[in-house]
Amino acid sequence: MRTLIVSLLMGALLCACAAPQIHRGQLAALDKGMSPTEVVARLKLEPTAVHQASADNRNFEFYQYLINNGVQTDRYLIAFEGGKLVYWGYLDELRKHPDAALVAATGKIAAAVAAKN
Amino acid sequence: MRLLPFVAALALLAGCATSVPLNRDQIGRIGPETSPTELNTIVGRATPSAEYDFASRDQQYHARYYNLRTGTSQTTSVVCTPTCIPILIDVPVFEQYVLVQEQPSLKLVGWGTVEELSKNPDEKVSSLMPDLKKAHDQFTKKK
Repeated sequence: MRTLIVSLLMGALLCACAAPQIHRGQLAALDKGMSPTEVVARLKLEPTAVHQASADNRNFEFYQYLINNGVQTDRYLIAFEGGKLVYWGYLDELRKHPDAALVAATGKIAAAVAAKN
Repeated sequence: MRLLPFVAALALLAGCATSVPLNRDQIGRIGPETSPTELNTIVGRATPSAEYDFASRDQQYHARYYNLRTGTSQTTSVVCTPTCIPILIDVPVFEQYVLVQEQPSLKLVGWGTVEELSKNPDEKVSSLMPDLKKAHDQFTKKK
């Protein structure tokens, strides 16, 4: 029984050390066209990093978050163009989007995203 | 008496069985050309968790929400009789899955999780979502 209590306490301590993160359930609250301010308000969390990249004369801004998908924590991106939300997903999801400019811009920030938690 | 929480948890799980979830095999059979009749056949006995009509840009739509079983998570419960032993319990994980049909034809417009539909590259689908979510909030408040 003592082992169990110690394990639970250790788990609680580890949770307390975890970096701020969003959860999958929160993503359903996002809609295309939202401003960065609205997105941050809906997610109740500031991004861990902001990246900018251009492709085909279009400028994109990416908000980077840590997401807890229920199994593990991973990097997550929220893409804006002209101050409006255009897409959100894991790096691989953005890189297979039908919009070639968004894919190219994502490719330019991929290394910076990987370097930041 | 110490078995009470365990029995209560089992009773709660048994309660879930009355609602039939969707599974991946079913949604894999849904496509853009799926007719309303075929859609109902595919969905079969799955129980909608919510169902309502809503309007978006002067067009009426019908939305059905289902629980999609996406996996299983494991929780631990400690049972003391009187020696305490941890017991692993598999708990199914669900995600809300939505079918959206145009009225009155019932042509299938969109299908997916709320997140998938909201960020759908097809503007016709993603632009419906703010109105669908408002209607869902109203439906939930009425319930």
